[in-house]
Amino acid sequence: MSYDLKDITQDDFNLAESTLISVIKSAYPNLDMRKGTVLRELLTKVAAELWSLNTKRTTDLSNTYSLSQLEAAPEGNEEAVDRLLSNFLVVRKQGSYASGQLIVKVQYSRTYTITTSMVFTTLSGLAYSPELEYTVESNPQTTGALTLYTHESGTYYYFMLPVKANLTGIVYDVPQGTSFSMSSAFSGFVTAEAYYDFSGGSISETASQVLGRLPAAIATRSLESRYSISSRLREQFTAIHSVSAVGMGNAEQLRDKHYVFSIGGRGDVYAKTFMALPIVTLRKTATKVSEGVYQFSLVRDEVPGYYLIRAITNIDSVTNAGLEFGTLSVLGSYAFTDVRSADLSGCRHDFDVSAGYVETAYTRYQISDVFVNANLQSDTTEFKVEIYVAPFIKDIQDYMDDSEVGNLMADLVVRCPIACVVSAKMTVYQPPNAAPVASDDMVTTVVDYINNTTFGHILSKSQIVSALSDKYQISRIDLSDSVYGMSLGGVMRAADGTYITISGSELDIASIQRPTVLVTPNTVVFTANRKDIFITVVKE
Amino acid sequence: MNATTNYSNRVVDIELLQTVENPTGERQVSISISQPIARIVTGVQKSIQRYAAIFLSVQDSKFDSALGTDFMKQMWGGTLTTRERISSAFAFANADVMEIMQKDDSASTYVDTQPDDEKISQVDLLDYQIDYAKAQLMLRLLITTAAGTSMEFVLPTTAPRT
Repeated sequence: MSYDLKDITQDDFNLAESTLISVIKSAYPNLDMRKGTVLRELLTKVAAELWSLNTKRTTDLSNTYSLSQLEAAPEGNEEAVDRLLSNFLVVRKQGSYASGQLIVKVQYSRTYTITTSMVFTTLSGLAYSPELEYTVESNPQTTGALTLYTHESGTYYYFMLPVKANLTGIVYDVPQGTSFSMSSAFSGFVTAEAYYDFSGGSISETASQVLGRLPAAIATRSLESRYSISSRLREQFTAIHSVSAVGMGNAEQLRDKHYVFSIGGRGDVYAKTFMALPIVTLRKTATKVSEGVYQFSLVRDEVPGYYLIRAITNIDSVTNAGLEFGTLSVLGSYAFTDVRSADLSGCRHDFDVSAGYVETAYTRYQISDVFVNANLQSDTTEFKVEIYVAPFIKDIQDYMDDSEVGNLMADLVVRCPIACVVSAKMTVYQPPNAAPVASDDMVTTVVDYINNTTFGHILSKSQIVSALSDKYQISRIDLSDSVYGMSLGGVMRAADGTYITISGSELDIASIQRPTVLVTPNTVVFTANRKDIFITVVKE
Repeated sequence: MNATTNYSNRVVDIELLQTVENPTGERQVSISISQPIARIVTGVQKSIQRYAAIFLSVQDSKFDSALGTDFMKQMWGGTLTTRERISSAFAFANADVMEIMQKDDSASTYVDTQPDDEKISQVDLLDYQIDYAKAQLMLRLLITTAAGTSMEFVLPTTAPRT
């Protein structure tokens, strides 16, 4: 940071001036240093200003010279942290932009042109814009054109428009059904709303966080050890939040146990490429296979390494998205069965699928047949399918398989982490004179905290309380498990398709781990969505 | 300075403006007669230049906002248009300077040993001259010290031309 005289405080100056006067008078006691004298006003005062400026610059330099000093107070010294880390070719991650699709309703059946300068805004002022220009037609003729659909009532028309937030931040992860308006609407525009939950928004990495990953960042950048794999991948893929690698001898490493003895050379890399687990929405055409049952398939690389299907609904439906413990499906979804297998064509990695598809779970090789229970009339129908997908699983696998990059002596496979989706409910009591706080703000704080945790974390009620009390005035939160107290729980899908739940004051994955289905502290991360955190604020 | 006074062991300052040698009446001073070496001052001359420095300083400067007076601001602002306003502005400024000097003196270790001929007890405005063509206001002041000695000096001020 550069300083000039306007950055010098009165205290800085007073200290410098009094020091100078003291030094001068100790050497020359017969000099008159009172206010108004030439010695004071024209010489000492100017010297004191320059001295305090140099002192400030020197102090700043010495603080940025030492990593331990920066670690003691990283916030507020972000510029110094960035400069120091540049010596190690480490860059602090900037926040990411939330994205999603809008269902845009229009009045007329004609061709529309959507430009990148259009802005869609929520009631709270969050702004989003399309990343590309689109032509919307009822019968698209050009590549990339969007389809204009007619609502079954025949009263309006609609199309799906991908948009991205104009600024970074998790607050832009608005829920499904959020209404949008346009200050400069195009002709025919009626209304727009979020087709599904937006995801992908995150805040910038703080100085503390980037200093925390420095050991991994300065490790040897090769795909050999845990540190070096983490370092190499995080350098290449800036979206990666954290990495966990399991290798020879680890209980959750199943691929080294194909023979009598464990063998080396097998590694599974769990890459947390998200804060909140993003949702991808697909339109899938399903075929009736029996009365009341439709089937569609998810082929390899369509949604690489997807975690689970969150909901299957009608094309233009808006579901009430809440968490159901035990199943992770949302209210309003059709019941479905997700049968997973693998497409190993051209795959050089060692998988044993003779007894099931646990070893290929959450990799890019995973495929599935999905059977939907829906009492519909037609032989084929379109469904809206919402899927939790970790980004870049295929890209990371391709990178590690690159002959120029990959470890010549190892078989490394990338998986989406097992996401333990957390739900919490609590009542927060504030003092009567506390500044008013919307419960939505507290929800954001809790969601941010949970999504920032990493592998091996033990999530507890007291940590959440601490995160809230650091930011807000709180008199108490009832931590008991009573109906008026705080509830904390999570649910995750194991590699064999079973659901595992955990609840209590402390969520410790080690207490419910099942390595044979890849559920251990090394493979599981906590994640939270806004709609699953319920906070009531009470002034007492 | 009095030629018979003993100025040894006095606390000294540096000359703010060079003394004109052998002054005879009013005289134009130019840079060509300045000497390369500054001299030290003490006694009433030191007090006068200290008074002048504080009087002519503008208040609200950074790092010492209380040092100075509003006199120069008022002059630059064009509000000193009558004799009465000049007298009034001088009276307020003079009071500010005396207060600043006395406050600073009382906080200084020098207060107990300061000679009487350096202690200003009163300053009177004897006369003033306004030269509108040169945008110059000259104040003729009479300084009286605690030793009973008096000295006249002229405090020249110049307004910036637009």
